[in-house]
Amino acid sequence: MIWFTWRLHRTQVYAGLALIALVAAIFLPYGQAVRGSFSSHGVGACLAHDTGGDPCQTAMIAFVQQYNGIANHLSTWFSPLPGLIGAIVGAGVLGREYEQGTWRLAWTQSVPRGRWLTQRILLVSAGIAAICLTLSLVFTWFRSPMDDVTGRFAPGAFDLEGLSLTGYTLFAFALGVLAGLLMRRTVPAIVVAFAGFMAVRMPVEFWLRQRFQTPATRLSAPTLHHTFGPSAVPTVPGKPGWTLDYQLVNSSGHALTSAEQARLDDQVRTMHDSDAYLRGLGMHLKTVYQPADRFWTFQLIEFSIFAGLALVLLAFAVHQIRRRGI
Amino acid sequence: MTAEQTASAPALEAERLGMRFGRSWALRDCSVSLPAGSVIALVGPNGAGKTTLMHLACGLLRPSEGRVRIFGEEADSGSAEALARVGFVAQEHPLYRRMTVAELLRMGQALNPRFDRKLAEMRLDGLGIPLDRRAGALSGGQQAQVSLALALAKRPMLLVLDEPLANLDPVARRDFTRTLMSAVAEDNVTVLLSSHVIADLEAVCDRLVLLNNGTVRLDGAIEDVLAAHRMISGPREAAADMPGVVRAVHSERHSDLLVRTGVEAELHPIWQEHHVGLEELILAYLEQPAVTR
Repeated sequence: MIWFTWRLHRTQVYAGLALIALVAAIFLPYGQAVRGSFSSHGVGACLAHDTGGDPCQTAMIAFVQQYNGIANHLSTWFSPLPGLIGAIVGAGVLGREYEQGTWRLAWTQSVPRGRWLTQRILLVSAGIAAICLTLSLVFTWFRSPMDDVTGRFAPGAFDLEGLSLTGYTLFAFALGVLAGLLMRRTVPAIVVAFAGFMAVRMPVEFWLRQRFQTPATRLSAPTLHHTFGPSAVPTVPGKPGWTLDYQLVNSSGHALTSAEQARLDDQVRTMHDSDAYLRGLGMHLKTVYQPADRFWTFQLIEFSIFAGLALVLLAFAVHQIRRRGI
Repeated sequence: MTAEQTASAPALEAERLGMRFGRSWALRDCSVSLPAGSVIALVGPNGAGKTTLMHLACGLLRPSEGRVRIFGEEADSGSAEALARVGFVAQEHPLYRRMTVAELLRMGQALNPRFDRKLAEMRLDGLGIPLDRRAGALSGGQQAQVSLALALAKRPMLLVLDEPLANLDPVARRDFTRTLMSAVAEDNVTVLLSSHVIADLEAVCDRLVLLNNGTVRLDGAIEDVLAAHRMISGPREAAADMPGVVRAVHSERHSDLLVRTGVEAELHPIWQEHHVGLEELILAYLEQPAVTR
């Protein structure tokens, strides 16, 4: 089965290696440039000294603005790719057999078809994992200076680094295998598998992921000039986490109502040092966030969700093949 | 299962076999026993259930009801040994088109315990089929030969061929039949083959199973089946009393009847008697499915 699977999938393996080569050719030199800028702006020194003061804020903002936008764009373009690659490889496993009629050749050799499909799935999954993990390594290396500043939880970082990319691709692969089995056609199975992939992937990214663990909260000096989002630079020492929400809270720790907030906005509009005024009122800035050290926990949860779904789908496909045959 | 039991069991034994796709039955209440060592023609119109029966015999399908045994073992047992015993050449002889002939043989060797790659290479070489050519670049006749070589190299006890001669030109058809016959002589393999072309079957097969509408209409050694039928012609008014009529073709005063012999009493001299050919016989059964007994 090893040689047979290799023979059927070797073109895809070559394509995967070509993709790695392409990504490396673009991102390794680019990563060097990012590192150059990181040191020339003195970002490393700033991070080492508690994000230190206004000059450092300016330096970090300059560095992030130079690279983070592009890095995030690149990852936005790359993010549907695991779904597409997984769906294409997966749909072909059974879709092509049905389309070309070769299932009748394959399953009348002496390897029972349940075993045939199981072994083929395991070997292809191993190949997918190897290629995706290599890609993740390249992306992680490329992004690491940016990650030091903006954290590893931004979609552009979290979706490409660690195990998540591998989990996504395996999930799309499993969807492709099952769609190929049920539809018996390759191209429609790719479309359905990709749509199914996005239908799970997007809610996990935008709704579920921030709920993996109860977020932490932190009170800090009040300010109306906080930045929020993937380009935010750290204002407190330590590795930046994933900021979910900022709120001004009053001296008793309650969040301002929207009426209070509006009134406050009116009051401070003309003030020179609004932050000092807020401090005088005993206010604090409450940050709701996922701490940076939860990165690997979150990666494991994300991977478990997608790889677990993949396992269920593939087990179902094998069961179907054994039970009904064609 | 011991070797002896396997050897003495029928090559294929179907017992009230039924296969349903959705609401319609492709095969129903099909009972047939095919002895080992014969070459069996499976005949019937499109949709008669020939392919379904063959897929059931290869374990590609699981029966909706009843059972089918190959040399005594359930065909859908899913065991590697059961699969190794049956060689299958599917309709349109599918191959992995991007693989070369040599790669297909390597696949056969990788996936089968008793695969005889040398023999297959020799056979294909003898037919002038280049081993380094991709399957997709071969002619239809060559693809059929490669499929047959793959199935035979498994050293199966039963070889199942689904419409192997369809889409082949007359020369390819003759070559294929020739390869098949020499393999049967050398390997002592039982063959079940379906075809539309009755003339091709007559030269190759010694046994006939006729399927129509998912059931077995006729089953027996071709010799016996032919001997058990004859064509008679005579006056139309006498035709109504004739027992054992398979099919009657009436003109105004005259009737041609296909009858089963041994059923009627001494034939009245007003009837003229002819021997019946295989093609004629099969057509008669297919045209007139309602057999009077």
